[in-house]
Amino acid sequence: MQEGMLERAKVITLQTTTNELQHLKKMIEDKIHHTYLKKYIQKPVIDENKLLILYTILMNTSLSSHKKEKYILTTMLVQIALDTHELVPDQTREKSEFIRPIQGQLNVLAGDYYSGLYYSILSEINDVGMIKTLATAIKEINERKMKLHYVEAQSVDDWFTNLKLIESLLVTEVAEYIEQPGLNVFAQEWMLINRINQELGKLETENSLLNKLMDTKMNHSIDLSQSDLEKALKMQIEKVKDLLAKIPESYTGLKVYIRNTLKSDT
Amino acid sequence: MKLAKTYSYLKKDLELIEEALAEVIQAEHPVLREASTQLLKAGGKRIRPVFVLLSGQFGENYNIEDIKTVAISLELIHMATLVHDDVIDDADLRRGKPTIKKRYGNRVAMYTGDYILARALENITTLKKPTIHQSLSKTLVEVSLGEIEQMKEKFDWNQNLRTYLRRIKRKTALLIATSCKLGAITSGLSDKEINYLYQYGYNIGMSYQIIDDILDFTSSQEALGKPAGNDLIQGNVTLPVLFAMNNPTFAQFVQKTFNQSDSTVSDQDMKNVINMLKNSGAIEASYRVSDMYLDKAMQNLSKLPNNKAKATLENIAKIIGKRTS
Repeated sequence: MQEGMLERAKVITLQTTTNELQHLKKMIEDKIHHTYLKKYIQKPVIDENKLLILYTILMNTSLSSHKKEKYILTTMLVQIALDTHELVPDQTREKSEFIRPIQGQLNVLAGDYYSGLYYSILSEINDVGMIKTLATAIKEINERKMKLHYVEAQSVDDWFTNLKLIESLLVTEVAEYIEQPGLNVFAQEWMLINRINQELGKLETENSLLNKLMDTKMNHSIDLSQSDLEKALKMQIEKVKDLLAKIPESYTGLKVYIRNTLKSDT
Repeated sequence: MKLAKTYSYLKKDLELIEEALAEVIQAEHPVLREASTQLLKAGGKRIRPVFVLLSGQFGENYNIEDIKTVAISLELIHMATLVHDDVIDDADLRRGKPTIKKRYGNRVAMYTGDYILARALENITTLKKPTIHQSLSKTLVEVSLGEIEQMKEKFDWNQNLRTYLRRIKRKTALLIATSCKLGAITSGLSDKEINYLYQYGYNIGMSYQIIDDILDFTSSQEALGKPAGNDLIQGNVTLPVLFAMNNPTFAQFVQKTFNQSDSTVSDQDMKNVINMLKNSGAIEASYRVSDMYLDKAMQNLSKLPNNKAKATLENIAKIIGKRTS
């Protein structure tokens, strides 16, 4: 009987968290809506895992609900801006090509537009500290992206650390800013799983960082196969499960949601 | 007189800004650092910092440290826009030198632009006045929207003067107007004075862009650092083209030339377009519009107290009206 009630409570918690995330996603989508961009570029993907972590961190603060929403909105806008710029193709096109692919051009502008929105929203609430926090995170992320671009890792661990930081810096810096860094270690490891999953899905595509890494083999000792990666992913999942178990019960929504996600992944 | 000569007495302050700019873009990653430095060394008129400095000099609270902070951020924002614009335009050269996109590829150009913009925002957050951030962020959003509009309006031969003016307002005038406004806010000017300087910057910016658009047809590849008529090749319908379109022969020729299915425009066709445009009276008509904005800029200035900065801003307006590069 008690176990049945517990299960029911978990279902309700999961439903509440899912509803909240949907509400936040809708708010973000409304903010970035632009008729012309919508016509030509793909709809920005809102990273639900980052949204969940941000939401969890902020819900456990005494900030006003207005401020919480603005922090979630602006952090996600920055993430979307950075992700949109990743969609710009790297290869140089033929100079003879007169009418250039509008999609790539608009991805450049859309990313800049979303960045402007983040600054504008935080300026309206006069939160200079948060503007700085996000700007610093963007700066760090781009430094890390350069390392990945030039495949400069000294080891597989080094490469994963870079990836982990690229994925998590925005959230962890915001958590530091609002003095709630308790979930940061977990957030980093959890976000790495999601990124590895994404990268495994992109294998053999021209944008695959893993391909680049495996092809490079480099001057140093990195030698990584797909099965190594899958093994690393499994280990990472176990690591996250351990960390999740240590998170206080007050974070029920997060725990139930992630357990559920991990269940469907494995 | 050359533009730089008119504000030569600002040399010391401009040098301080230049040094600070170089320092701000010292990224950890060597390529990121090199790309940003290359962009900085390519020069430029540093017109935005100049407007910040001069506008700031009207105030009683002129503080070079604060003024410098504003000037650096505005120049960095401008630089970040240029790096991304070169990706959009697939440009190989800027001011006659290889672009970051050409040298390192689109990906690095995107990271460099994002990095520089982040540095600009980090830098300006050392200032806490809310109006600075509200004004600058609003401008950033408008500039982005302007660029998106520009994309939408490419090769649209039916667009009107109003569309063009709205586009150049967002593309150029707003950032110059904001440079003046932020200089004024930083030095504690009254709302009225801030507005006069903002309007001055706006009108100067409009004139500046119109002349840029004229020079795209009248100047040489050597002076421009890109081929003459490049804006039109990119599909940007600028003021001289809009005026020339009133001539049916030109309109027909342009539409035929740029609507070819093989997507290429020969050098000869481009030469013909430029010659026809020059003979249509479009250049003179465009200068008249530019002059109208310059007159308005002078009127805005006339409402401000007389001082050296005001005299320099007047000179800048005059020189901009006559510039050839």
